[in-house]
Amino acid sequence: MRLFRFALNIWITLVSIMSFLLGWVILGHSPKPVQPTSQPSTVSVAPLPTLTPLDSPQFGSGNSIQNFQVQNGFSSVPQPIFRTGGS
Amino acid sequence: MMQSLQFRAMNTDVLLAVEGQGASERALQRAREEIEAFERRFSRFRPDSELSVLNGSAGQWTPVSDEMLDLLILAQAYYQETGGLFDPSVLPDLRRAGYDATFDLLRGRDASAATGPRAAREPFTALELDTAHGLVRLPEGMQIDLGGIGKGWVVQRVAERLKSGNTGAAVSAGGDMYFAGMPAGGKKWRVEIEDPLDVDGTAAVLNVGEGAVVTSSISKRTWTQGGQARHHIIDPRSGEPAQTEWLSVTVVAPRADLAETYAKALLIGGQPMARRLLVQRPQIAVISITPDGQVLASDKCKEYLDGSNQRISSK
Repeated sequence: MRLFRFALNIWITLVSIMSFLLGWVILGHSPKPVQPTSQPSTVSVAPLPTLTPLDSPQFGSGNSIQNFQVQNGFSSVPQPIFRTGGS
Repeated sequence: MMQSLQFRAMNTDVLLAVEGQGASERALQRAREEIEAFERRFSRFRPDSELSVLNGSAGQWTPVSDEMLDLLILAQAYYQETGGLFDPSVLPDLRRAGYDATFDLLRGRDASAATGPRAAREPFTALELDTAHGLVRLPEGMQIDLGGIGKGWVVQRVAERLKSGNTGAAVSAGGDMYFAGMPAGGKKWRVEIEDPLDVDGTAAVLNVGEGAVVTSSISKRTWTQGGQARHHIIDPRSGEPAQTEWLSVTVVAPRADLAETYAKALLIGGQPMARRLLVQRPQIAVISITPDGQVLASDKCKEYLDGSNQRISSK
């Protein structure tokens, strides 16, 4: 058992060293990244069309509020939102 | 997953939810029918409702249903417990303040002006009950509105029936909620308390178990009368919309009728009443919101407040 553990340690050590050296060699022979050019290139783009202004929202002169209609119907959710604010 | 159903009844938005083996659209539909039947019986805006018939029979003994009798017994007990701050017989004052039609009709128009001074009337305890024969006699001139306590009562009743055979069920009607059982997976019911200064904002978040959460507010159901701002929380001492130190009061309690009556009494009575009533009922938790947006919470609220709450002060 002791011999087996000793052999396992040696094997793990050798495999680690070999993997490190192999990675070093691969990285050393890989192509270098492209260096950016010092002169920024300019791209001409077509001018954006002018946007037309939106119509102003029309509010009634009184303080009337539209009745909020709850959507009727069944649904299936993890837990609906329970909200209390008085009645 | 939780099955839910939303609809409009009792002049408010209603949400039913149920989770468990018996959770079905049919069960939710039955619960909806029960709420609609309650509304037909207890609405003060329906001339043919049992409540309208009773209000029209003041001075004489009138046969009533078991449900009406139960509600009146409860209402009289809470009237005495809150020192008269919860008083269903303020209906004539509510009408004088302009709340004489359903709120959907009242909203957006100036209410009719008050007619004459406040009439003298007998206290709510003068209402007589003959429980043995199911009879009630309102004193001459007394008119009652069971809208608040009735909503709490039906919310709990429907939630408990919906829960039968299931893991958990919840009913929410306007500001009144009752949770029967628990959601699956050991979770709690999450409740957001609306910020009365910003209806889209949330003032606090609660995680509650079985029981009721009810909010009473002067920011909801508001209208104008002769150009003057009015709301529906009547102070029985003055007969006028209450001048309150808080904009809203939320109560967490084991029962919905208790939460409903205490939310209203605490909103009217403010801090002095809170000190007295919280000693009387230590099991309830109270959260109130001041006009400057401060959120005040009683000690009992620590059990329910979500960790995300930022604006809470203890009171």
